[in-house]
Amino acid sequence: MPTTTESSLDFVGEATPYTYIGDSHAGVGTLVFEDTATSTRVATRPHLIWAFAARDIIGDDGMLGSSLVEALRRTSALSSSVLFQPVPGLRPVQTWRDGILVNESINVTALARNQPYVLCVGELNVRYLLGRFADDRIDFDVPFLTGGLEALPSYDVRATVPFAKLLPVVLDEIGPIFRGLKILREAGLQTLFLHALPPPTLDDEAFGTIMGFSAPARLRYKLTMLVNFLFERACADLSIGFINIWNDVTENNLRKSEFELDVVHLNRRAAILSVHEVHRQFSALQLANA
Amino acid sequence: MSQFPYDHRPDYALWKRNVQGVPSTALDPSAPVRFMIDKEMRIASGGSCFARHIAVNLKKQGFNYFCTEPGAEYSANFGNVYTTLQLLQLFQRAYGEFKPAEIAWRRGDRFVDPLRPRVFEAGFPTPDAVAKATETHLAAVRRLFEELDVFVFTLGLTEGFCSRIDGTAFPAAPGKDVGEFDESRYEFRNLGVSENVEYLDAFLHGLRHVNPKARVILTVSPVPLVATMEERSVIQSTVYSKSVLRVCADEILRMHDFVDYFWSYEIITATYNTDRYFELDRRSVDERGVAHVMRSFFRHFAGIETEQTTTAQADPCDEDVLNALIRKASGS
Repeated sequence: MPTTTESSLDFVGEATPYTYIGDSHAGVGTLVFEDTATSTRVATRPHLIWAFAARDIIGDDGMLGSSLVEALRRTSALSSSVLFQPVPGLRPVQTWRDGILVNESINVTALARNQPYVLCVGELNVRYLLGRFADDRIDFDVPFLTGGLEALPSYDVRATVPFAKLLPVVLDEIGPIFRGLKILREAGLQTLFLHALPPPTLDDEAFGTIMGFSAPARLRYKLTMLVNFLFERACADLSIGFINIWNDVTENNLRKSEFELDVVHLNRRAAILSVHEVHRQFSALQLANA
Repeated sequence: MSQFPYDHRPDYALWKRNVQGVPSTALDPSAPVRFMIDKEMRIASGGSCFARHIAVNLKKQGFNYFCTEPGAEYSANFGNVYTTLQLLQLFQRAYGEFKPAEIAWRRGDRFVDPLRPRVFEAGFPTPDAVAKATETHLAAVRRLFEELDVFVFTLGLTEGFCSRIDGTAFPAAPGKDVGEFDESRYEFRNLGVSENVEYLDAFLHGLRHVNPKARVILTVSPVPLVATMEERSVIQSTVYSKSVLRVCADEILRMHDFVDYFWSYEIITATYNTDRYFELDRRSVDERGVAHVMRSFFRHFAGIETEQTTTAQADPCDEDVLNALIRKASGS
């Protein structure tokens, strides 16, 4: 038996990293899973980028943002070499080699084929849009059902914007996400997934306190659902997996209290559901590519 | 008994009767018009981007929208004419009084006309092909000016970029995706009241010279500047630009009785409607705003009441349209 001053650390094997990269919703913690059917282990690997929003994914120059490239390099999805051909959208990096500054092109690693990368982004962009819409007392039409939202308090609406008018504004805000995903997909990162936005809090007062501005719950939900709707469409178009646990963590489209960590985030139970969904889609992808 | 000059002013001159208590959608900042239009007249239009709404609605209401080039967005293929200097130079080019030094700008491996870079998106294979297309275009512009009855012109901007070599006023600065910006060749100009009055007056003299029956309706675009080169907020520059153009229109009205003014700027931007008629970008005028503007235009200049106006837009609730928009946002 080990004494209190000794520890016992048994090596039990390797685990496949499931990398979550992006805003604070990528902070799922280091969770370890075992697939009993295949006796393989999975460990989540969160890589948070502070204040990560759509505009960080791609710059005005059309190149992938440096914070995301760095995160993907640190987690072995991307690598650089003088031998690589330049890849559109991936800016070469400069490295010292034998005292000489050389350009190295960035490309997707072979290792990345064997592990999933889940991008969490967009929630900050929803906040930006909410600030504008709430300030203007805007409601808008959406081309999908929003059952359950009628249970949320109504608010004083100045104008209801048709979907045709709203869409360009929202796409302008989140479009860089799609352009970034496209660059990575075309560069060969097939194991990339985009995570859906979580259902927001139902507590208007807490939201106002944390965010520093007010936006009614009905508006928060509608906008979040719209962004997820667009995420799903874009992912289908780009052949990128979409990790969406909305139906599991909501009832009638409203957040279930048992999944709430704080005003903004979902808790570990939700993270476990997310990892299960990643595992399901990643396994299917591996099978298809085998 | 002494008379007070404001005692017998008409309703439109009095805030209490023209504005106070009138529903926002019924506000009508009008004035007696100098002439009317009818469906027999050849009505042409041009100007900044807001002019598009006027062209669309004139056609929609069955007016004889005069167009001398097939497929043109306006009455000829001149694209957006933002400044009075551009308008004057368009006229001068049409009559051989001005020949810009630059005839073509590069866009990728193609060439475009620097004075209407967005008109032919595909561009032309050679500068010669641009020059040939310009010749055809200017012939159509001549015919337009000589045969129109009424020209509706929307004053848009005071800011713009000009050639340092010969003063050519371009509709857009080179360098974004067309042409190359070179500070030694191009300069920023922000036209003042006297310059605008001078250029517009010169155009009107030319127009009446080639077409003595021509009449003109001026209006000021309510669409704010998308960007400014002045070292100040784009809001300040918008107010400056629109104020200058509004003053210019009034100065011109005092000089020429064949020119009238239409108040689209007032309908959209007067304080009681600023919160009502702009899109989410706080810049584009929405359908209701355009409808209000055109309702007032047709009521006063044509004597007809209209309800339905504008704008044929692709409906993103349609799956194909939605997917195309998302694909475009993805850069595909």
